[in-house]
Amino acid sequence: MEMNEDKKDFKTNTVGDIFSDNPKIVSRNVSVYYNDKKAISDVSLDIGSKEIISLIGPSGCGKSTFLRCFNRMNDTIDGCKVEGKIFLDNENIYDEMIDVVPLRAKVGMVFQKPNPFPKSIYDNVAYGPRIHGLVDNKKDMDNIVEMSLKNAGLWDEVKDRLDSPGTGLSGGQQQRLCIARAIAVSPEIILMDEPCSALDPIATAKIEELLQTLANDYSIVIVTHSMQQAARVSQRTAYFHLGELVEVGYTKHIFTNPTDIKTQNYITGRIG
Amino acid sequence: MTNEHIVGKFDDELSRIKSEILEMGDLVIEQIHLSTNAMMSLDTEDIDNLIQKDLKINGMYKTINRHAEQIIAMRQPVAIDLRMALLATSIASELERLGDYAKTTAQGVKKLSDDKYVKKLTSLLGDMSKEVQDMLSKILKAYQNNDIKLAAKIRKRDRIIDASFKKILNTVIKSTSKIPEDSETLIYIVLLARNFERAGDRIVNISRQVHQIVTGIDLKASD
Repeated sequence: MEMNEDKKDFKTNTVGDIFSDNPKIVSRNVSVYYNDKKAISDVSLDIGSKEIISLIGPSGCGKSTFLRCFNRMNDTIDGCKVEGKIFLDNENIYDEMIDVVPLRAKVGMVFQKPNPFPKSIYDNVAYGPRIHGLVDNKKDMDNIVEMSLKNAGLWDEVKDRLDSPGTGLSGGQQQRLCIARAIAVSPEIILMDEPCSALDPIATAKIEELLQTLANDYSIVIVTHSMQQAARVSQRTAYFHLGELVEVGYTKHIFTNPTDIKTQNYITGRIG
Repeated sequence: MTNEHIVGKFDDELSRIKSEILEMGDLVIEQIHLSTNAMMSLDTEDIDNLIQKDLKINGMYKTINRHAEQIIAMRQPVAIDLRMALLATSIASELERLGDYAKTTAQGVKKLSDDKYVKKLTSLLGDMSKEVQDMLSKILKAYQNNDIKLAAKIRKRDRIIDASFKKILNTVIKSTSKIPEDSETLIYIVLLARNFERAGDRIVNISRQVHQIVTGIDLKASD
């Protein structure tokens, strides 16, 4: 099958190394259509195990569309069609037999705007483990909630008010609550779609610091419009333009000496 | 080489720093030219003026550093923009040292004499200076136009400077027996020749920096 491909023989228009030595996700020739409109075209990229990779590019370039392929969130959009193959741990997630509910537990997602449920802080975190039937007693649930909030760097700020509504927290705290909610179901990958765009610099710094810790356990794919954020947090950066993956490489290379002129124009803020 | 920035003021700031480097470079060339003239003619009248003008070069160096710092802090440049800001400070530093060499040349004029051996040596120094001035003028052009081919040509010309230095050194060694009473003058001539030889090296540094701005490749690291 495709997973045994010979890297040397694989043809792509993307500049840079699309491969990972230790891939968690392998996507090949992925195209996405919204009805007749092609949103992304022939994108191939590996997401490494426990790596943070940033997807950057102008609005409408397809980076969020590509991100949403990894947990089949695009399935929820009418008229959306995904072509190509995406393997998670060697399993094609677009196979007919795949159940998207456990897939989405395995591939968690954090959105641009913090979206806690109108429930208590405790119940926000407990929601996932409860619906996925991960625990059957209160003590285990307490442990999961505590560990998730600790891993999201929020425990010390909320441990005395777990019954308070999640919506009462500050924006930065709400976003960390959403991260706690995502990690409560023991995912392996966390997708983040502009997770800091609604946050102030301090809350952003806390999330970015948290990402480094989370990367010890998870693969993180982050879509961001902040060049500085991509430069600060990720090991690799992928640049999308008009639905194509133009260039991917080590972040330090992309931000110091990108190979493709389109990448350079974008990251330096030039008219391209 | 590159398109314009969406934020026009960023282009203005990068252009300003480039203009400042070019202006500083022109002043350094003028200083080398005038100090060499003084050395050849043994005319000490304008020396104080020349030494004073070096302060202006030092001031320009500080201004360029300040402007580069402001670009880095306020624009967070990356890739070629970062290199343009960062390496402007390196080029300004090389120019500042080249200005110092001109000052030292001016200061050395009083130590020279019109002895015929000394005259012969100062004439060789004059040739070195002309080469340095021309190399500096061309490397500034290469910087202005992001011309890495011209920059590479300039790097090769450092051999001419090195050969001239060796020639002067050998002549001085032979002259010490002929004019032993002028040994102090001869030592000064060697010091001045050494200055011009170092000036050649600094122009080579600028040439590498131009290459790095354009390509992102640090030639010094790969030498």
